Amino acid sequence: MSYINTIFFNKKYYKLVKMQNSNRTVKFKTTSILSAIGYSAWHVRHYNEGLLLEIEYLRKRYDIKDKRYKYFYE
Amino acid sequence: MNDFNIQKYINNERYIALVDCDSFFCSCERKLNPALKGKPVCVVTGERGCVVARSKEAKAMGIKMGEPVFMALRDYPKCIYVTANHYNYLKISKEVMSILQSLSPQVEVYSIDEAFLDVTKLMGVYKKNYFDFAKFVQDKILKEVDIPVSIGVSKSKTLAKIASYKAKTTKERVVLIGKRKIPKALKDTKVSDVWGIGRRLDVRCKTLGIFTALDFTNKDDFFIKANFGKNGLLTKYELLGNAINEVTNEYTPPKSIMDTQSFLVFTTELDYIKNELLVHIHMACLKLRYAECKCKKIGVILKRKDFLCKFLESKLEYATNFELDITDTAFSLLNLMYEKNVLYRSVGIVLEDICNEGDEQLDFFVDEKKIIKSENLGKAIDALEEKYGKNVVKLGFENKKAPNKQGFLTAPKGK
Repeated sequence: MSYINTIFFNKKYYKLVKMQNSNRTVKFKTTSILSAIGYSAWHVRHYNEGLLLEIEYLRKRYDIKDKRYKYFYE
Repeated sequence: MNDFNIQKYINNERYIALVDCDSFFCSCERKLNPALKGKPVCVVTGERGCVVARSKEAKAMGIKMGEPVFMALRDYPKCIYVTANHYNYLKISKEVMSILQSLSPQVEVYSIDEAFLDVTKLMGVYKKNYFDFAKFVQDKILKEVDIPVSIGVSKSKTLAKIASYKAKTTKERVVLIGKRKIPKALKDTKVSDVWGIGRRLDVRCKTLGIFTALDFTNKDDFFIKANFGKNGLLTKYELLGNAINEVTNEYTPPKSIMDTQSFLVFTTELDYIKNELLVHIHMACLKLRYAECKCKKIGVILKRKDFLCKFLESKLEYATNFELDITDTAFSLLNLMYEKNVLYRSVGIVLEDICNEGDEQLDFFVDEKKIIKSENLGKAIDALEEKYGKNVVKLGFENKKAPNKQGFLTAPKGK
């Protein structure tokens, strides 16, 4: 798929998510994997529960309405 | 008994390598995020999914495959749980396969992380023995794609699978089972670990006193065929080092395609369920068109809150891979299963009886123009989605008041 070619693998956004029942809370957002891992370790030490790491990649996509390319994390 | 002659299948002069990526999804995440190297990593399907891949460190912690995410987070909090991104994995898989295809003319892509290579006549080309060639392939993939692989080389696909299984436990991650080593390898292998012997056949083997692969090969042909059929006999000869299943480049269509997901909340509304079903039909048809196939049979799964599952299937008028040709039949199946005032947890679609595009049986009474029109429309949707992104074209739904969840396949993300 050509769709995949629009991903920029070097630009990422990390989210640490806590799931409790069906509630989803984003506990931490960062662009550095090291700080995401550090926060996750701190959270485990304090609360003794793990967090889910979501990685969003920068994508480039053509917007039909504005007639120009847009960049966003997905 | 006499009509089946095993001799015509036997080919002694083959050497087949099985290249298997080590915990592939975790390796992909580590390739994209090198800071995860050396840390326990698990890849999970989603926030309410299960563990689908574990790194070596995570396996050592005791995390099991298929464990629900909430249990893994509670029991093993120190592990890093990453949500899966299958588009990235597919791209990396293609890179690995393209390297293999550049090395050998005969490559059979068996799954997203596995491929069989026919290496019989490559020794003269690369001027290396089989073991060195396997090491060369391993180093090349690690250097160019940064994915660790383990390689098993042997005289048949079944033996290559056993070799690959053994390679995962060795330091070099390459195992060669030559002609002389076959009896020892078979003696060390449990019959349940043999490719083609599943849980049910394993039980039958144990009742017949077969515990190792060597026991299996020591039985005579008549006994094997009577108890395990023709495929059992082929497995026996594969285990003896005869390459019966040859490595082919031909693409085989999938047997079935399924798409399903739990609702965000339990529901009784038929319109909401229909909307969900439309999303799954679209995703399944997308996969079908990507594989250049058509289906002639569909099934709809409806799961109640108490996990009671209903399944109905129906044949289509003609083979298709277009959403609108499937929707009416799927809705009529759904209406047959739906009961009022019952809470449902999920709905899904299964596409069966799949054949390659162009191989389908044509119907004399079906309007050919209509089929061509729907084919073109499907291709147009794919082209639009490739250019502008997923879910840019959505299937219409007559009830505008129904909650439209199309395009939001996971829980709404928090800010």
